[in-house]
Amino acid sequence: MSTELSLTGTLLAKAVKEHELPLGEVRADAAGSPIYEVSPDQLRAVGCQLRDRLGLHYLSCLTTLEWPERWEMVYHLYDLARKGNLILKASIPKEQAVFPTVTDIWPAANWYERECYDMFGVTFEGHPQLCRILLSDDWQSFPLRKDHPMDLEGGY
Amino acid sequence: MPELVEVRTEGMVLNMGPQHPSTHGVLRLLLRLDGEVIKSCTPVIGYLHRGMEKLAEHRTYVQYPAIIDRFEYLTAMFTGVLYAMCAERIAGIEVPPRAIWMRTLMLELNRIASHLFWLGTYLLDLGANGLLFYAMRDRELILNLFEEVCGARLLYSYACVGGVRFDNPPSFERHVREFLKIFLDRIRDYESIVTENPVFLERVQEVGCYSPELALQYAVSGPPLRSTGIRKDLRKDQPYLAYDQVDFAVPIGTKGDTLDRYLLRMAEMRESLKIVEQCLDRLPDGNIRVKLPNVVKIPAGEAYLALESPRGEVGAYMVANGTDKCYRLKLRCPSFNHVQFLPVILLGERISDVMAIFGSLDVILPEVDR
Repeated sequence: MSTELSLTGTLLAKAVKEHELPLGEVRADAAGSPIYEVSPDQLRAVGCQLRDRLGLHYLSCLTTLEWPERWEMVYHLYDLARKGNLILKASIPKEQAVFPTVTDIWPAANWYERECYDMFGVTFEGHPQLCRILLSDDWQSFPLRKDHPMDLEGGY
Repeated sequence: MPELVEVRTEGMVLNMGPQHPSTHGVLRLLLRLDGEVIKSCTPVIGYLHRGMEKLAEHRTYVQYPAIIDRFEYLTAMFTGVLYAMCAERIAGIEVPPRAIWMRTLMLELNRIASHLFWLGTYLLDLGANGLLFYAMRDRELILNLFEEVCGARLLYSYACVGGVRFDNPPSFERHVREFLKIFLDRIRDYESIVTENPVFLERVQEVGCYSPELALQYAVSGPPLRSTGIRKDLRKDQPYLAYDQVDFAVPIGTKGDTLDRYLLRMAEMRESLKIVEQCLDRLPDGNIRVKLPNVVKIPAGEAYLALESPRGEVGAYMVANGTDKCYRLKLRCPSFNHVQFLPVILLGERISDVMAIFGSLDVILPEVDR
C-alpha cells in the first residue's frame, strides 16, 4: 500500500510550498497524489490561487463523501504541466450541508455540483442553476445518502 | 403611401430527443432557435440513470466488475480494468506481468472497436449510410477475438481484482495477427472512402471549432481536447499498465474542428495497432492473476485513477473502508463533461450542424447518466 507521494505528487507539493499557499499538512492517497485539507471559508480563495498561480485549470473530478458527522467535498485538480493530480478537501458538519460554489473558478464544476446536490442534498452557495440533473425534477429523496434504502419498497 | 409594418420573427424552441436516432442513447436537447441559428441549448440528461454508484456500495469487489461493464458498454474493458486497478492500488496488490500485458492488449483492441463504432455511426449521422456496414464488419473481427477469450462479445467481465479472469486460448495470437494484417488495409479503405470524399470534407471542415483554453475550462479530454492541439494523453502522462514500455505516438490536431477529431481517431487506430503488435510480441508467460481469498477485502484508503479511454479520461475515485464493499465509488466519465460543453460550442451554430458537432465529441449516454 503506497501512502507516499509519487514523483509528480512531490513536485506538486513543492510548488504549493513555494507559492506559500494557505494549505496545511500534505497527505498522500494510494495513487501518490497530494491531499490538502482546506476550510470551506477559504476554499474559493485557495481555488483561485491554485488556478491562477499554479496553473491548475483542469478540474478532473468533484464529488461529495458522506461521513457519520460531516460532509466532505473532494476536488481533483489535474496539473497539465506536472502531469499529476492535486486533491483538495473541505468538510462541514452534517447539519449545515452548504458549500461555496466553485463554478466560476472552474466552469466544469457546474454539472458536478448539480450532481452532488441531486445525490446528496448538499447545496452550493452562488451556483447559477442548482437543480436536479440525473433524477427527475419531482424526485423527493437523495439516493446516495447512506441512510437511503437500496430498494424503493420501503418508500423514499 | 402604404403603411410600414414592422415584421418580427419569433424564436422557436425545438426539442431534439429524447428519442433521436443520432443521440446514441437517450438525450434531450432543448434548442432555442432564431431561424436556423442556435441561440441556446439545454441538454437534459438522466434518462439512463441506473444508480451505478449506489450499487457499488452494496456489491462486493467480486460482484461489481460484472456491473461496471454496463457503465459504458462500448468500452467495457476499460471500466472493468479501471475498477480493478483502483482496488489493487489501495490494497497494494501486485498484478502478474502477464495480466498487465493482456490488459493492455485488450484495451487497445477495445479502443479500435470503439473508434470503429464511432466512425460508422458518425457517418450515419452525417447521412452516409454505407460506411456503417464496413465499420461493423470490421468491428465484428475484434468482437470475435474477445469472444474467443471471454466468451462474451460486449460485456466481458474480463478484469478482476488481482488480474484477469481468462487466459488466451492457443489460437488467439494467430487470430490477432491475422486481424492486424487485414485491418491495416481496411483503414486505408476508410481513408479512401471518407477522408478524400469532398462531400464529407465540406460537411466537417471548420465546423464546431473551439479554443484549447475553453476546452480545458470544461475539463474536456480525449480526442475532443487533443484536436485543439493539447497533447494530453494519460497513457503518456501518467503511464499505467504497460504503456511506459510500448512505443506509440499521440496524434494531435491543429484547428479543433470536426475534421480534426475525425482524423485524430483514424490516426489513433493506427497507433493502437502498433501497441497491439508490441503486446503480442512481448506477452510474458506466467500467472494471469494473483491468488486472493474468496472474500476480497480492501483496506481503508482512497485512490483516484484515470485511464485514457477512446472517449477521454475515464476515472474512478474509490474510497475503501476495510470491508468487502467500497465505501464510495465516484465514476468520472468524459462524456459527462462533453455534454456539459455542448451548449458552449453549439452557440451560434446552425441546426444542421448540431449532429455533426455532437457526433464528433463521441458522447455515449449510458456513461453520462450512470
